[in-house]
Amino acid sequence: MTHALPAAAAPALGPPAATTLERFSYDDDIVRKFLFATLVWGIVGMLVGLLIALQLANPFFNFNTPWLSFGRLRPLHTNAVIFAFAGNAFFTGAYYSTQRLLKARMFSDGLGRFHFWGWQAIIVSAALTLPFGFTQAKEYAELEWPIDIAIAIVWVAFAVNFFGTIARRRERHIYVAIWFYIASIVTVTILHVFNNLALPVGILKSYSIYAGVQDAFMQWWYGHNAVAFFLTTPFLGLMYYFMPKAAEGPVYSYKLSILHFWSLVFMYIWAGPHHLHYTALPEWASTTGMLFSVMLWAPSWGGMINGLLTLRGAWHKVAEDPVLKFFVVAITAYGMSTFEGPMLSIRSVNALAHYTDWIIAHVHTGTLGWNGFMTFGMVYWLLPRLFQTKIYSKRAMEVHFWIASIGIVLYVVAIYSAGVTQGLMWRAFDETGRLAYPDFVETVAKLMPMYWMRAVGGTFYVIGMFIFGWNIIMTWRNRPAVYDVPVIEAAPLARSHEPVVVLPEPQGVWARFRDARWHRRWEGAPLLFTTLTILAVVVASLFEIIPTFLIKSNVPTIASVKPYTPLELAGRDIYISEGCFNCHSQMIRPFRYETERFGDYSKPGESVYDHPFLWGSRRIGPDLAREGGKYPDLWHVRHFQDPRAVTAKSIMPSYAQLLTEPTDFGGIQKRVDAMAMLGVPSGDAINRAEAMARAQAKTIAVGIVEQGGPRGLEDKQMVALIAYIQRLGHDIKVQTAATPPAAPRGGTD
Amino acid sequence: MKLSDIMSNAGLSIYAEIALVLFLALFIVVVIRTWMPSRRRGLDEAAQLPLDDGKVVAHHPEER
Repeated sequence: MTHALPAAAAPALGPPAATTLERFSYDDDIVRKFLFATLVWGIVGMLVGLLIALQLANPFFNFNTPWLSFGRLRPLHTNAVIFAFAGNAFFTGAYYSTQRLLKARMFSDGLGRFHFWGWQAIIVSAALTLPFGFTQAKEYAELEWPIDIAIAIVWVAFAVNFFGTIARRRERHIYVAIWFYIASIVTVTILHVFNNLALPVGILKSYSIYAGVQDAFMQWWYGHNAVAFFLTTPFLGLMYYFMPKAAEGPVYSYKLSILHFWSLVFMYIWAGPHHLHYTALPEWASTTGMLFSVMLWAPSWGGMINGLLTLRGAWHKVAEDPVLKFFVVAITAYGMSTFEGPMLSIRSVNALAHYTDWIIAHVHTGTLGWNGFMTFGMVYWLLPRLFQTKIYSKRAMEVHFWIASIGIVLYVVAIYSAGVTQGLMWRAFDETGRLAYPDFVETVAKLMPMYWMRAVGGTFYVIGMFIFGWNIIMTWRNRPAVYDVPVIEAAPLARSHEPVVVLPEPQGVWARFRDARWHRRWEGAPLLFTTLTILAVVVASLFEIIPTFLIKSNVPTIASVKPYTPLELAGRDIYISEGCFNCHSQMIRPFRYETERFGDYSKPGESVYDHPFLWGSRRIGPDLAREGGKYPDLWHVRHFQDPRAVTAKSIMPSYAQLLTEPTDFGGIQKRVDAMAMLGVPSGDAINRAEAMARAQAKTIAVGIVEQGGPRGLEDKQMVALIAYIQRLGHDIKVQTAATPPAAPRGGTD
Repeated sequence: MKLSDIMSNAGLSIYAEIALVLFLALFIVVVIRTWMPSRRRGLDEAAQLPLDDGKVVAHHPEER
């Protein structure tokens, strides 16, 4: 339909500038599209989540199928719930509220549709690549480079559509919800581009241009701010719009919302390094991250209070209106996770919580509670307005609310307990000063009851999703034959927004400042506003990131650390595509209970050739930074083939396919060349990577046969992966033994 | 001489403190101007924006 109907004559009372009023209508079709996508991907993403929860409770649920194994599905779950469920929910609310707040139809219906279909295509491509092992190995940025480019294009289309709408707005003041959207759109663009800079070595394979500490730093600058600017600020924008709508009154304090906004923009971007406490990251960076994280507590709680107090005088409605119930729990969950986040960022707390399920519990309070319940409340509020009929079942809304709430409680209570239990077991010493639980698997087996309880909680939440979906579909079926589209009338924005009555120019600096005309000018300039937001984000990022790249003392080099051999590199790529880093860290922290268990703590200089870094963020299995040489090759063959044949209580999936899948020797040279382009000194391998790889594989395969293992493994993935695993932690031992740096095991032919 | 050599010896640590002071100063400016009495009316009006969907003057049916 047309969106610029013929202008009507202005009423006599209008200001002189607005001689004509414009007529237009809002595009709700795009909002309905995003709403359905939110539902579909929410169900898919959460079902995958439930499956991987079951896999941890019992490895049977890996079904001995490579593309259904935990390591490959975990990124699919996180990508689906973050970018597909929460992403589409944000777009739903943003397209609805932006048009109404700006009194303008979206800039382009076509760009809106491109954004919608483009985003869904990206999600489908994620579902078609991640289970098959195509991954960049960076959390929440796993998608390979062609998909990353597609994301950038679709995101820019969204941005053009969004800023185009702002340019055509008929409302002078830009409401705070739009500020949050602007910050999200520009910051996500910056984060996405810089964290995904990679060198392609094939259509679905690339290496991060950063290595080791620098890569870790970039990744968690991205990872933390993906939480901030994809799951927090967009949803705060939604809160500042839909909460007043549902409560039928303005936000408690608009001034507080302004402060909330600027504090988050100033502080969030610095907080990333708290994901890397006690790792090989320089200490100043981790301290900066911690301080800013703790400071974030104040504005976050300011925002929470602002959201909750919007219900002042309307608390009685909460008991009757399920929409408000969802919002109240959502904002409470925001408060809980933004209290817990700063607490977890304190180093001593982090020492206990890092690598454990505590972090998983923290994240799920935020996502299930804050993002999930904001989405449910918003969608239920939208349903009667978008489908122009009554909600099919209010009772089902109530059931959904309670079943999902119980689901969250079961989930997080179980997983908080699991996290603290495992964290305490790792650090427990007995009276003789030795580790109380030296066998890592003891600390895993203990968690099984809690993992089952988590799966029950997750099931409750998923059942809630199905009730939600059923209610949406039934409401949609009752829609009218023809949607009514209200035609809105508003004056176009005058070029100048000086007051019509010209006041005398204030005298003196203070008077001019107080008069605040400068500020109104500033506020009316979204371009300047956006620039300032970008400036705050970029300046903070540069101050934190640049020193690790340019100040040498931040990454001391270690002479004995050498690049991987071609075969080890191939093995490392198998490690990446199987998603081993989702369960195994490669970063030993400088605590006695860690060094006793795993060996010497990790140094920054050890990962200088790691494109990408593989430090990991969770220890479902033991750390592998010093795994090389701990067990004979045959042990690894048996263990990969059937982990429970070696460790009865292991929950690791079986990797029997490694015995039959061939190593891609033909592709090795290209990968070595790519590493060389990234600055890795590859030596001889630059000319004959394949021959070197074959020779090393032969040596290892012969050794396996001598130990009594199967024959014919020299061209199989098993040998490549074992070559890599046996290399882990090897080089640093060369140094401590004070011998001249030897060639890596089997590295020469 | 590499860029990292130059940067390592340039004594740049003071820059981080300058950035912190600038950020704090800017934040204080934001606080002051948000609470300026002259802005109260404008902000109160802004707070009402979500409650105003625009003046409906006609209805237009749309094929679904």
